[in-house]
Parts: sequence; C-alpha cells; structure tokens
Amino acid sequence: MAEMRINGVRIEDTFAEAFPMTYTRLVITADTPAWVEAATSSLTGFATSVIGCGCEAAVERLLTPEETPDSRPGAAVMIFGMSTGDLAKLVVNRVGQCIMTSPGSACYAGLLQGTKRIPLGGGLRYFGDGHQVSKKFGDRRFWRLPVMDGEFVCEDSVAVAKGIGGGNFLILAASHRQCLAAAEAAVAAIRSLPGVILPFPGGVVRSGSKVGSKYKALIASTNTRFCPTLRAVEPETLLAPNVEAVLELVLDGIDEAAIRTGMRAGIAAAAAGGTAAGVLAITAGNYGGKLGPHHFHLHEVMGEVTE
Amino acid sequence: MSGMTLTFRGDAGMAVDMSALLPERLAGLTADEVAGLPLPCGGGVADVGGMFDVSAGDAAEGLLIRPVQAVLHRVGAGMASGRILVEGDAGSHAGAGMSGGLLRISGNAGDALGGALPGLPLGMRGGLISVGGSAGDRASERMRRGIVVVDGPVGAYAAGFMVAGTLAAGGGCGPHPGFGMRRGTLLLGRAQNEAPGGFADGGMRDWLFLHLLRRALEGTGSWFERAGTTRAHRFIGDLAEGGHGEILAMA
Repeated sequence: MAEMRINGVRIEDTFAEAFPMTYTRLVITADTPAWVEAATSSLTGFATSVIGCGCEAAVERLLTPEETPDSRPGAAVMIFGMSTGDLAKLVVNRVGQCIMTSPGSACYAGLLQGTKRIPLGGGLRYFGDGHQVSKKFGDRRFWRLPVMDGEFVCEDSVAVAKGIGGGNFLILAASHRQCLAAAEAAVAAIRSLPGVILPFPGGVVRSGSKVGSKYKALIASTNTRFCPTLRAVEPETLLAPNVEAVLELVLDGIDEAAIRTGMRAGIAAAAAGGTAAGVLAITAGNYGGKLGPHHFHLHEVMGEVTE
Repeated sequence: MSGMTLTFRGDAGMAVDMSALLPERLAGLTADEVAGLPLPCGGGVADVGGMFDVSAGDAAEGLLIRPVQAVLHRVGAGMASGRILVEGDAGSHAGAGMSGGLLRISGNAGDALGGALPGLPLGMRGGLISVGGSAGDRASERMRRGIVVVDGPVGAYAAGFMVAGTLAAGGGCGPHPGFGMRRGTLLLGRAQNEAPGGFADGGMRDWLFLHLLRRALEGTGSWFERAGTTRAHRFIGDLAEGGHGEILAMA
C-alpha cells in the first residue's frame, strides 16, 4: 500500500488489535454537576485495564437534566469487563462503594437491552436492612434505600452487551510537550463521540506494554520498542532518531464502528497540526494479529482523510 | 385515537358490565363481529350492537368508549394490554384486576377503581389508569403493581390493603386512607395535617423517586405531571401491617 500522510504526519501501515469484551452503561445523577463528577470519578477510579483493575471504565458523556430519569445533572458511564460474571461482581461493588456513598447520588441503567442483566439495586437493597422500598414504573424497577441524606434511588438491574476493548493508536512526536498536546487534542475529539471511552488517566497511556518479560513472574512489561530512552540498545526499536516521546490512546467501544469512528477522529485531531506541531507519525499496537479478532488497519480507518 | 369506537345509544341509567370488551379480546374482530358479542346488562344479556354504535376499526389500535348516560361497570377490568379511552364517566371496578395497558377515563370513576373484582384476592397488577375527574371509595384496594392517577379526589379507604404500586390522587382522599396497607404509595395532592390512623409521621422532604413517577406519567396530562414539586410529607404505615407503605401528602 502507498505511504499515507496527513498534514505531513506519516500514518504507518499497521493495525490495532482489539478483543471482545462485555460492557454495561450506567447513568449517574446528583444534585449538581460537581457532585456528578465526584461520584463518577470515584466510580471509574482504578479502572484503566482489566489486567490489573478487573475492569475498564470512564465517563462516556455528560447528560443534561432533560436526558436523565430524575431531571438532574448526570453522566453516562461505561464499564468494560472480560465476562458477564466479572462485570456483575465489579459493578455492584463499585456502585455500592462509590455511588451509594456519594451525597445526593442516584444510579440508573443506561443500557436497557442486551445479552443478559446484572444486578444494581437488586444486589444493594439489603443495605436498607428491611426498610428498602421497591417501585416499578412501566417495565423498570427501582429501589429506594434509606440513607443518612434521604434515599438512595437505584435501578434494580442493568443490561450487559458485547463490546470491544483495546482499540488503540500511538502518537510519535519530536518532544514530550508536543506529544502531549497532540494526545490532548485526540482525547477531546474522541470524548465528543458516543459509544466509546478512553479508560486511562486523562484518556492517555504513557506506559504501553508488550507481552512477556525477562522476569518469569510478569506476563507483560514495558514496550521497549517504543521507549525513546532505549533506542540505542533495543535492536527492534520502532522509533526514528528524531522521536522523543510516544503516547498511546486506548479505546473501548460498543462495536467496531464506534472504535473505528473514535480512532479516526482521534488520529485526525492528533495530526491536525501536522509535522509543524512536532507530530511525526501515528502507529498502532498489535500482537501480530494472532490474539485479537478485531483488526483496525490505520490506512483503512483514515482512508477518507488523507492528503 | 384511532381504533374502534363504541357509543352507547340505549336508555339512560342502563348498567352494563364491560369487562368482556377488552382490546386484546376484540383485536382483529370486525365491527359486525363485535356488535354480535353478548354483554351482561341490567338483569340480563344483550348484544353489544343492541346497545352501542360500533365504528369500523381495529380495537388493537385502541378502544374509545362513549358512555353517554349509561353506567358502565368494570371498564378495562382484567385488561392485560392495549388502550381504552372512556369519554365520560365510568362505573365501579374500572380497571379492577388490570395487569397491563392504559385505561384513560376523562370523567369520574366509581368505587373500586383499580381494585379487586369480587372474590379475587388482588387488585390491579400492572398498567396505568388515568382519571380526569374524581374516583369513589376503595380506589386501588389490594393493588399489587402499576399506577393509578386521579386528578380529583378519591373516596374513603383509598389504597386500602394495598400490597404495592402507586395511587396518586390530586384532590386528596376521604377518610381512612391506607387502611391495612402493607406496601406501596398513596400520593396526595393536598396537605395532610395529621397522621392518618395506623400511620407514623415520617417528616417532610423532597422525594427523588417522584421524578421517576413524573416521567412515567408523561403524556397523560395528569395533575402530577403538572405539579412543580416533589416535596411531600411522608406518613409511614399501616403500622399494623408492618409499616412498609406510605402516604405522601404534597406541601
């Protein structure tokens, strides 16, 4: 395939390799946007990677009062796990410890149709110690749990569905500052899209990993081929001499279209300033195509926005 | 409302048992077929066509009933799905034992609205009843699930022996509300100065779940959809039945 450039930024002829995951979506509300942020930052804390955290989570988008069930400010949060069973345990624990505890909060299902349902209030109701109240409006059941600031209202259960985790691209830049600026632009572009989240801090990963390690106890270790400080000693380095920093964006989405749209928007935003902004190349992480069934070839993803 | 229309043209004051005329039972029947169905009335039985003008249309799309001056009992009783709109008043047991669907009565409803049919242990088990006027005694008696919203007042023993569900009466209620209530919510649009018998004063506050009720009532045009507050005085009871029910009186 011919070389691809966007504003002079080289788009490598490679692909991102992604994996099937199970996801759900919660709608969190509170009295003010600040308390929505407090509740959701707690809910999505320590949820960057299933490998170490058990799940991956982030705010999908903020919601206006007109969009939420109780007419208050809110946010849609997506949580990804490796299985329905894993997600069932993690979600009810996180909602119980992070949403029920947050002043004025409420938790609703943001996914009503899916492959199965997992408990929310249905698992937390016993905290009410016999004083919990169930209300069913239409097809949706809610629990009212008495708490110290009034009642915690929580939907009985939420649907789960099949999604995709691990869509990604890497930004190679001439300086750390420029790399970070490009990554921030990409994050802003992706966060405006529905159905896709960036679970890492600020939406960006700086410690990309490879499979395996020289230490037998570790299943993954730093991605030496993309470490600029190891360029001189790493025979398989993938970095040109002028690359000073690399940052990665990892995307989880509800389907291939969501990942593809997110990657495209993110790469376009990262490359918008071109080489003049210090962005030299965009590449992607994969395992040779043997582990993940979802392959997102950068040239195909960016096919319609080339120079 | 598209669908089938039944307009009463018999004698004023005629009592008719309407429980056989449900959207799910009439779905797919022609006007002539519906007109030929027998219906208990007065002390006997008559064909629907002998008492009602039956318009062409499919009741699956909705059933519009114009009582004129008849007393139509058990309208929508036992209904599981579909929509019934009564343009005028309904008699007793409207929506009794209903398990789904929408029953809208633009006028007043008689006793036992959304309650239990005689001899049956449970009242309404699902669906939505909306009444533009008032309702009689024992509204939502033994109700298990669903929503009944009445713009005007309801009579005595409202939500009596209620098992669960919601009765929202914009004009308040008569004596002995929530008698024998086990769980569920009786929401009143009028302030209640003292705790009804069998209830404890649970204090005044804003109730978040009432926003959910309001969303569930969107499109009905009911009093609570228009109410600008979710602040209410809560009374917990009936304490003789475990005290898991509530009467919420709006401020």
